[in-house]
Amino acid sequence: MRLAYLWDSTKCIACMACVVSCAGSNYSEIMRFEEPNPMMKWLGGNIRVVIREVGRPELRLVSCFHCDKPPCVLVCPTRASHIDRDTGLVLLDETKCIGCKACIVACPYGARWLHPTTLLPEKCPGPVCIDIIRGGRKPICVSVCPANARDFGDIDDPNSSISIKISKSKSERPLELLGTEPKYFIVKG
Amino acid sequence: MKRLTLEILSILAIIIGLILIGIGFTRKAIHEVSWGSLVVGYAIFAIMALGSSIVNSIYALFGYRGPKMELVNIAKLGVLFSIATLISAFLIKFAGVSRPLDFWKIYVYFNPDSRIAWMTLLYTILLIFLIVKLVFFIRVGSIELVRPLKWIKLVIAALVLITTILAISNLAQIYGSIIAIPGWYGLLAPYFIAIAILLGASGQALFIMLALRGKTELIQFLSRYYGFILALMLPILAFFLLWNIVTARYSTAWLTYSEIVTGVYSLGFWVVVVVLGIIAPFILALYSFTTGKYLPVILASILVLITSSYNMYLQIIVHQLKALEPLAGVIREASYTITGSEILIILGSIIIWPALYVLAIQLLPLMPGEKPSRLYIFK
Amino acid sequence: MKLKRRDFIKAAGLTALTISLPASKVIVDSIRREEAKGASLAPEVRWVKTYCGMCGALCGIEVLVNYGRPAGVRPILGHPQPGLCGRSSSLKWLWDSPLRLKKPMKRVGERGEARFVEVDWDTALNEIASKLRSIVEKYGYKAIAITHHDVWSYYMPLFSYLLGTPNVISHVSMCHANGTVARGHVLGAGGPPTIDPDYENASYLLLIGRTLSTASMGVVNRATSNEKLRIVVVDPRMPEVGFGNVEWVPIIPGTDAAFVLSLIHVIIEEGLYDAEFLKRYTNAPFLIKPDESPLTEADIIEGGDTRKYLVWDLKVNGLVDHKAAADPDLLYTGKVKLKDDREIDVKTAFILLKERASKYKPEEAEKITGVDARTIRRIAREFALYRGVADDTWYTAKNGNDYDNVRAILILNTLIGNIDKPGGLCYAESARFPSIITVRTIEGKRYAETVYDARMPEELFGDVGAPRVDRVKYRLTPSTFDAILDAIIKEDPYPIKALFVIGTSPIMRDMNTSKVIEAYKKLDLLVIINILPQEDVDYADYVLPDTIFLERDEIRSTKWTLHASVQVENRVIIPPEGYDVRDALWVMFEIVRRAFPERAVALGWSSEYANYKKYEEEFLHKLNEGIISKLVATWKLDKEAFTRELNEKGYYILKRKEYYVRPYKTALGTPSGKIEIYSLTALANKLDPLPDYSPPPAYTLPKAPNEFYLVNGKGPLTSVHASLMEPMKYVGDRSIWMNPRDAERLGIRDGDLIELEGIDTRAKAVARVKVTNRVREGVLFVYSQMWGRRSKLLPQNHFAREGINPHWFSKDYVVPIVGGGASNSSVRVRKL
Repeated sequence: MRLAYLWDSTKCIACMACVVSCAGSNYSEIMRFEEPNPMMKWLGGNIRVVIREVGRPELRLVSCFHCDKPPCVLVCPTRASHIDRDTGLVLLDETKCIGCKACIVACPYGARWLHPTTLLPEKCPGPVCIDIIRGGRKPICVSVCPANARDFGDIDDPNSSISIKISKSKSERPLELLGTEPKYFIVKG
Repeated sequence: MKRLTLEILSILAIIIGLILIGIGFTRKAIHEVSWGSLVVGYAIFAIMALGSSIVNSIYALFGYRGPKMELVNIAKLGVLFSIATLISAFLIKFAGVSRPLDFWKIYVYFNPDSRIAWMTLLYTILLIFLIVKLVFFIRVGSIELVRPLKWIKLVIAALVLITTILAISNLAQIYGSIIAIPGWYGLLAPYFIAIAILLGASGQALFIMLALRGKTELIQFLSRYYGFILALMLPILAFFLLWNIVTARYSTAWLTYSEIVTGVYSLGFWVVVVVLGIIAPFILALYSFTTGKYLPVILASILVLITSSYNMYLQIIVHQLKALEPLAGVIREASYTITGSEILIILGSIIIWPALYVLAIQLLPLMPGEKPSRLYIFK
Repeated sequence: MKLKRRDFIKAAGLTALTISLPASKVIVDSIRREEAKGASLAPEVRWVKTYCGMCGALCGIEVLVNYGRPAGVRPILGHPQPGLCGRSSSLKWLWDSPLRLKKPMKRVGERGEARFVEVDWDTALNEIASKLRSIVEKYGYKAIAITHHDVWSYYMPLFSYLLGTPNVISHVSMCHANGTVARGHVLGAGGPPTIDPDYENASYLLLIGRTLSTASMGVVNRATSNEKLRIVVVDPRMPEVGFGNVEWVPIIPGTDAAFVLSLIHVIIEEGLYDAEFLKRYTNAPFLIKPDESPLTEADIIEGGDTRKYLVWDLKVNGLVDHKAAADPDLLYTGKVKLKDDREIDVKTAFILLKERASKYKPEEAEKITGVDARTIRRIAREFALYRGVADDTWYTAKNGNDYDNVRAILILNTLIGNIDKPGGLCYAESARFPSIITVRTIEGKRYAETVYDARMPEELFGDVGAPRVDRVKYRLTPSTFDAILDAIIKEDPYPIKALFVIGTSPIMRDMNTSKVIEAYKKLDLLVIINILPQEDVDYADYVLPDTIFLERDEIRSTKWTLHASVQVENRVIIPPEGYDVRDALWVMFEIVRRAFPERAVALGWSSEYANYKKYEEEFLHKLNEGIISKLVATWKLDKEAFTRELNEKGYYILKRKEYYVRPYKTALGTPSGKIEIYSLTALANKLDPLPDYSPPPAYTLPKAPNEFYLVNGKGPLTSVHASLMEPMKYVGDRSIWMNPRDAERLGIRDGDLIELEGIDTRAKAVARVKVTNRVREGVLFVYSQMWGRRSKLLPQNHFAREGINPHWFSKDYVVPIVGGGASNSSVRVRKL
């Protein structure tokens, strides 16, 4: 099983439901911090917003793209960052992490951030979403999306909704040329 | 009496250093870049220790002893310098991670793909080899060795050098394997080796010549010796630097290289790194090499230490300040300013560094001609 | 799964955790348990179905409650109007926000100083009551006014009778008034949700000055589930929906009518209209006399019916009542002999429309709108050929000419006949939700009867029947708050001395902030019922902390769906400890019980409800039971099954959308019962019966190179209270948008500070610029009702202080007769 995320750029209306819900549900312990995510100057959650204001304005939601060849897993000295065998997701085993921040540096997507109290790297899926996914359900960002712009599922299963969407649409993966093989599909049309 | 004072002072310095590091560690702030000054400080110390080991091998492995056995006489100090520097590097490294007490996990959950895992292993091995080498030199002496001992010395020296080269290569790979940061991604190893040798030689020049002050002849030789190494390596560094800039110019690395070469950091780069870090020390070192005067090479060493540190700072920090977002045309920018906690940790390590060196000289028979008399290796 | 950090914490003992650790840790743990197992929940951890009150759209959401705290939100799947958005996601921050108003407060300083003392409820209510009594003694009940937004709006008619005042005047002039009046005139419809595009079946959606993400996420959900839908937005700024596969047509502010009339012109010119539809279901074939009024039977026959509108029937080649005509001629012009033998020229309304639209040939419209003629032609053809639908608009308080924009848009839809058809502009089914209060005549005597069967006799009505201050000035207005300001400041048409501001913030909401403040300062009594320190609070005599939607039980009709549906708001949680907050409903009754006890008693209030628990258990129960039994009676439902389904699902669909009803089978609420492309109501009110373009009257147009239109708009985060919550520090955009070409011209760079000076109001403010292609050249954009907060009760460094409130720069322009406001303005820009 290889679980993947899908984000439909043609449908997203930038409502921030996923961005705020991710923070509120996964990291509620820091939700009232003056600066919950100083590294990104952002809220304490796993989804960043990137907007291009020039040309035809465009939007990306950036979070862990769950590479099949993840640079963060490559650099982790303790195998704390690893590809989960059951799900194919890139996860962090916090008990092994020593906090060297190599994974944060290594991620070409800027998907990781330092938790302000544990000083350990955080990434998608957050702790609550991990359990939701283990329970066989779709993570919070997918379940809250009002615009049908997100999906999540097994790309090894040709009948999963995500596989069907990928097969039917023009999609791309972020910074594909880097060879990281992200399991995150951006639908473009 | 003087020895006791120095011992007490150096122990005090080590304690103060550790306290500073401790305070700094507990007040660490989160920066917009993940690898800040602590990683820079660590890299400088580590690379200096490695460079020092390379310099040491000129005698220990390749057998050049100097016209009057000068290099034989300073061999133990050279090894000591590597050890003290490496320990200082470790101190910053420990303080730089979030969970220093979990360092052992690197060995238990060793990830063979990870350059950092290898780095930890290589430095541990290197430290062990260096200590063995030091003990060997203390116990056996190093003047004229009979057969088996000579081979043992060569084997130890070879192991040290091999580990050192692996470690430098590894250090370069830590950066050079990171596709996220084009300014680092690529062939950094030669550049790092050049800086390593420069830093190692400069550090040794300062520390060893300081320890040997008064020994005029030896100093004169060492001035020529380190002057030669610096004068040799600086043009090589300049060559690699140029090559790095040229390759960066035509790749995404220019995103951040341009900041160094033509942007906000260009003044620092051209004045500090190029003029004060390459041209000026080259002239000074050449002068010492030809005349045997010690002052120019000391000055050159100080310049190299400061400017190469600044160069490492630029190389590590600036390349993290801009990155391409996964959306064409958008650049993610970060800012970085060094914080008090980082200064405390670096300051602590900088205090401990010479203190370790001085303390060891007081406790161990490391000066030319000294021999162990107590507890196997002590004076 | 291997043990992780948080599992260790869990293993350390959950009981210890609940006491010692921040509650959020507990939340994390129990959600994990619940989610992972998918098993039944501990009673302390449960999902509760309710609807979101972070804005007025009331989307269906489920809230995860964890040991008395809100811990998560998700949309109710299957709900006719499911959530959610960045606003509802931030409700977790709202519930126990340190900013929330916690205790009743009484002013001790000057108005605006925000110096208060906390008082107990009794003191606050008694003092308000005694002040009300003396005001009423001197000026009558009508000197009391209430303004509100969506919160508690259902109860407002009740409050009107409670206080005996007609002056319950909402936010509507600053929202949809212009559009609502236009909808009434053209389609006989009402507020924005009464007609809506059938988003899930539409093929081509034209959004003119409207964006989908403003509120109602169900609309977004339906539009995005429609794979064939093409969307075109016409707006000076690119709304968020523009990030998707959407065509954005940047238009000069205030010129929408010219754009739409140009589309109409192309469609008529190229014969792309639905002639059959126009003939039958609209007043397009009505013959219009030279005096602009329609030709009726009464014009040609003595004693004829003025409601029989004559058309030229091609079948009989003569004048026939429209209802009886077999083939009304759309293009008839000719002479008609009147009953007094005078001969006059008549033309069909359609021809008048055609003539009007022909003023806006694409090349002409291009000069006005800045949209090039080819684009206009293309959109007109696409719209007609794809059988498109133009959204009927929502927020139309913009430039002072919005009434005509909306009429033109509605006529555009009518032209291609895409009304009340799948994928067209459809009438929403009404839930026939019972009013909280209705006036009934029983045995010759009038009573105001509440939904829970209390009766107030006519003699207690007070001034309810007196003319409302806004309707005196703006005959057709749904609500114009600006008239209250005039009544306070100039005592015109009569003085208003006491104002209740319930769940709204006129300073953020209404035009010309300084006028609002001037009025506040002149009041004898200003009572604010709210949940957060909106800037208005600083001027209040009494500040009464309200409950938030999570803390209330209500039943409401579902908005923003074409189906008739009702939904429940469950009391998800109780207020946090130390937050002594009360329902505004209780507060209003308790004030009136103390001021005018007979009024409260007549409306079913008893003094034992002063006990809040009793109110919650008995009064609210009675009220909701009343609503349920009326719904059950209206729809002939099985009460038990209805309430069970309502509670289980969170909603109950009473009737699914039935297409082809209005105007096909049912007459519309227009004078002719038809769609009126030529509005007879407008005519009767001395307004132009046809839409036309006129330059924005609400502000001086920018001319100099450093002068700009300052337009404002809404987005998926717009909400006066959500914008104060912590996440908005990061996701909320507090900048002023400027086009790169303008920025370059003025030497302004992204992130620079600029000073804005209102050309009309002279107000000055400093804000940060975002240089972006999301706004048209010559135009600056800011989000409205979000930023530029100045309440002294907000922390000094609060992020919402940044940015500007566009109303600092807007005049108090009100559209004559129609009563809608205009929030856009023009400003001069100086780089700092």
